[in-house]
Amino acid sequence: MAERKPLPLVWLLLIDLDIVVDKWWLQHYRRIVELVLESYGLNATAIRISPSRSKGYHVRIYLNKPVPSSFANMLQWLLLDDHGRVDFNRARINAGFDEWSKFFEDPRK
Amino acid sequence: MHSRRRFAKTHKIRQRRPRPAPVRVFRMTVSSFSYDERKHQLFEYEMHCKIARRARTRADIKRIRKQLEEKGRKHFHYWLLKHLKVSLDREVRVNFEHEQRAKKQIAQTHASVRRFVMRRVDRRWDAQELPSGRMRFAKRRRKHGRA
Repeated sequence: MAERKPLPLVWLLLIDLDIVVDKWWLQHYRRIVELVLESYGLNATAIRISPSRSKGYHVRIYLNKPVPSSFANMLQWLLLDDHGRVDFNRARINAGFDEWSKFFEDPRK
Repeated sequence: MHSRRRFAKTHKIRQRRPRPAPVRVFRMTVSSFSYDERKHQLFEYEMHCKIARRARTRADIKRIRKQLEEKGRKHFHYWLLKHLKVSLDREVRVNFEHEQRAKKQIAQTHASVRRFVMRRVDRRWDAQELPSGRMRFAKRRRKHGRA
């Protein structure tokens, strides 16, 4: 059997939050993101939060160092990513799909 | 009144060629569910397409997305029926990711396609890769002969 190519390391976490909350909650969310990353020896170089297509927000977290795909998926789960999405991502990672993290969006203006 | 081109010709001004539109990578996911009554199992089929095309404006992106969607739906139905003998009776969902600037500024005529089937195993999704391939998007431009 042919050996599977290892998946590339991940610099960017994509998190889908399916709820609309008050702005000040998002400020707390940013703080929690930093604390969670810090507990794993990581830092966020930037955190971008944008409204998603249907409801809620899309969060992009740029990391200061790359992490393996399965660990990145776990971090996304810890940071409140949609649970169904996390399970699909896990299955895609196990199947060796390098573009496992999907964010569906409308074209930018 | 002289047109700009005529003015340039008469006054020997070298006309600037318009810059070609940037090549962007379009990523599309086509998916649908199917329930196998013999196995009593739910399957999710996914097809991930990737193609680099020239697009400058939002209208260009929308147009290419629409064309990709049409071709992708057809290809999805056709491929599943031909290779897995699965005819889908549920809705086929088509979604796009953000277009990113391609590293190589070369437009492609074929999209690369990766396919997966997801099934529920021990209350979790389990993915299995199906044969990958290509999907024709546009005809290749002829260099010689009739256009």
